Amino acid sequence: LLLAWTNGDRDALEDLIPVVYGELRRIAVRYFRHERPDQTLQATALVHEAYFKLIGQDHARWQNRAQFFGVAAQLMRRILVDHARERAADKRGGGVRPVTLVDAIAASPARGIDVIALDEALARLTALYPEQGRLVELRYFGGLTIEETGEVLGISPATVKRQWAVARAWLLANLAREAAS
Amino acid sequence: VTAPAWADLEALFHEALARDSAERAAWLAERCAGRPDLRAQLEAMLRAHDGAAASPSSHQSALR
Repeated sequence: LLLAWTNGDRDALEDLIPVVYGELRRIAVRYFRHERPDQTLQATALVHEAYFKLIGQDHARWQNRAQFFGVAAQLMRRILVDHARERAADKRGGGVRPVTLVDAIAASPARGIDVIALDEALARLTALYPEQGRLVELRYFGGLTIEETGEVLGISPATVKRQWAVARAWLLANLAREAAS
Repeated sequence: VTAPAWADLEALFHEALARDSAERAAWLAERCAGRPDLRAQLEAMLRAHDGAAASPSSHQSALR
């Protein structure tokens, strides 16, 4: 299946989604299990680990790599948000502590960013500016670099960088407004 | 209220960043004359940006 996809069969991508999702979840659960109170989670590490596990460096051509990361970012977002919701709902544990993602957005070192709040803010951004919403999803939940994001979106690294700075400020301002209201 | 076009936000945000904070407010007021929503949005974004840049660890991650 993976080889069919790397050989350019686009339908195979559709069939692959559950496989990628399963692998990402397995890896994520392992990270979650070792969660400490101050635990931070690197989306980058998870997505790249899944990539190497599923495809490896040898078979992948860049176009497929970009597609893989595009899909993985969406799936990773779902996994992280579900996990944060489960934790928030779990009253038996030692209190509610949202998983803190330390990746490119993190605004305040003391507080980090609540994944659920970020997911909602990103949904608001995406509703207004779909392309930039996608960019944030790739960068933040997919943990992609500027260059990788540019490859997936078909835009230059300079454009990614420029839009990223604006989108990030938009999200932080939106989160601050929500927190204040 | 319609949201400002992304192109406007992007251009004005980066232009504002290129200015000294001292002259930024007056510059924004001029550029956003008659568009109070756009001005408020940009001011909030610039505050958020400066706030994030002010803390060293997040500054580092922001430049990743």
